Amino acid sequence: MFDFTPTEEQQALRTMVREFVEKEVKPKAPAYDAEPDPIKGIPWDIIQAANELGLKGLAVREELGGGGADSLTLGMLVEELAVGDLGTSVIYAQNWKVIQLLQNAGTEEQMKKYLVPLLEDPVGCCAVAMKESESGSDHMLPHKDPKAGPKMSCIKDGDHVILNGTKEFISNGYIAHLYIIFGRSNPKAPISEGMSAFIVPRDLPGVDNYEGFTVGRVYDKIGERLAGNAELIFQDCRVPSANMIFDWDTALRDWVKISPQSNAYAGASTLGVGWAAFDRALEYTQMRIQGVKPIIQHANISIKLADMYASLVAAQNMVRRGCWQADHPEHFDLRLARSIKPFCSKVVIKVALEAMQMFGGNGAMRDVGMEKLVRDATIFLHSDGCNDTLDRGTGELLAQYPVVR
Amino acid sequence: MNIIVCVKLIPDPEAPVHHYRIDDTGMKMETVQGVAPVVNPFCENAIEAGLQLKEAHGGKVTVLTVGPSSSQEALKRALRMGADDAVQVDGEDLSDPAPQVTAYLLARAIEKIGDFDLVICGRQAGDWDQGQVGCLTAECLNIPCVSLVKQIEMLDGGGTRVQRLAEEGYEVMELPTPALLTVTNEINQPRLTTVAGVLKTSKIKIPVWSKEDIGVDPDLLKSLGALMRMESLSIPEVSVECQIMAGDTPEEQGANRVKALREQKIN
Repeated sequence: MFDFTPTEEQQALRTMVREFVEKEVKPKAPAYDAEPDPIKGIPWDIIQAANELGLKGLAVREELGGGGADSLTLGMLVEELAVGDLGTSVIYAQNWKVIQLLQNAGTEEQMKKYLVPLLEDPVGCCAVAMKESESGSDHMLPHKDPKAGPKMSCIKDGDHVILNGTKEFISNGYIAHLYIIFGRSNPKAPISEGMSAFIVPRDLPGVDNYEGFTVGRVYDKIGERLAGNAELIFQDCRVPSANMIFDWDTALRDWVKISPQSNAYAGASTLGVGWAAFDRALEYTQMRIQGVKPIIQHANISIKLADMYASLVAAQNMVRRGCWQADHPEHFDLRLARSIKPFCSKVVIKVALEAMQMFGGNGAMRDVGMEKLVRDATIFLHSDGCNDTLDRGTGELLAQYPVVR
Repeated sequence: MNIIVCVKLIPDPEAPVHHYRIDDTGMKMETVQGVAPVVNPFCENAIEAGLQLKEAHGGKVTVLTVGPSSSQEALKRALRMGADDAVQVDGEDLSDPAPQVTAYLLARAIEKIGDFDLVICGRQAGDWDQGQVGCLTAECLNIPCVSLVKQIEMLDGGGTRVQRLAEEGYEVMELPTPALLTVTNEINQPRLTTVAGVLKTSKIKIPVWSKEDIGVDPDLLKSLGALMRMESLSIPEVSVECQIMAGDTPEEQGANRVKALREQKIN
């Protein structure tokens, strides 16, 4: 079974990321977060510095020039990045998720054509686009009515497919150079039998852009502001059929199987915010004197800190198990995979609020940084699937096959 | 050019005081569980200086330490930063060795590595802050040494020109190679480890040299160890007292503060 004691290599990578976070992320992220214009809040220098360390390529297979890290290792690093800044963590969670998806589902030719230039690209990131204005987490629910779900059309035209439609709320949408776009290839069938997915490059070095694909607005979010969350617009965009991943019409069904780490990485991202809030609270409560003793010695504070700690450790174990099972299909349980992010986000919003309250009035001061953590902690209540939607999906699956404890 | 960098793993000097304690014997300092040891920060400056010289002039950087097996972590850190080779001298039986002992062992190992232009050490280690090992190692090797170096320049005709930190400003010195330099934190900003460095290091098996391997004279080692003996060890007590200075204006309060400091003979 699983052993989550970090290996020497995992520990060295965590140390590397922790130091990177201290040196590059923590000093810069608050100013990017405070930019009123979200485009000016894109941390290009942080992305470039992270890629110079080799972070982006860590998920790429060794034979393609990458680091070949497994999902457990990547999940640990997503968590560490989020201790510095949630948006930065999401940038890499998306990069790694898409790279892993391409490696699991793409052809050798697709990997050589897109992953090799992506590795050489100093700032290029990845994004995956499902969400549209009328459909968010439908793909996580067993909707059978063909009217439910995304509307983006993909119509075959010779050796091309023509995409029309708009995607919204796409993490890395503004900064990506490589996209996976999900569309409706059969609008008369339920989404599980009528969706296809395509690789779409944009400004990827040495690779032509496709006409008809533009990035629309960049969203002014309350948290996770550094991840360049944007709208993607497709107007008669001709994509070569050779860019299709998965099979025609069954991409959604296959995606669930082939991108098993998605929710675990989301849990890891929000978990990092929880640790950051906890670390700040632990430090502050040892320093802040009230009634001639540090407030950590006040029973109410120490009990709360103990509860926060236990909740975060429980969430961390769940994330690690989710990452581990993503690489061990024989042990994979979709119910666990989908429970991770809701559990973690509920733990983390509670921890962030408690931590902020321990700062008293200081917690409400923007320059203290606790309010950013609270804003960031709200994001994964909905991102990567609304919590209720995921829990509803899990609930339906509970009755369908036995729960193994 | 071939550079040897001597490094040391130490308890994290950034850890808060209450994470340190003296063990039951009263003669050994230890940290509470969970405080990971780190590479002495001045040694990181030495590694960085070595790597920069290699990048500018070619050659290779070999890192060297004396210590127990856990001290390999310092060597691995250097390899993850970009060093080429590493050697550990087994010091499992040496708990907090005297500087003379460490210097003698390092010198013997450096002689065994051979063919070097520069040995670079940190100016001192952040645990005991004695700052002796570098210069003593040069003495053992019978090579020139400059301490507190904040800039290194290799000269076209051979040798090196260095800037040595002084009380006010710096001194410029030239010396032939091979030589030993101890560097200050002013010299550079150490780089981070990289993914490639981590992956490379996980495949490397670092050689461990015994005292016999490097031709140590056991009697000499014993006599060097006897040059220093610890009498007692204690954690300094720090007390904080808050004074509110009298005065109707900030200027008056400031003047009173200066007067009070002078009376306490604090300049």
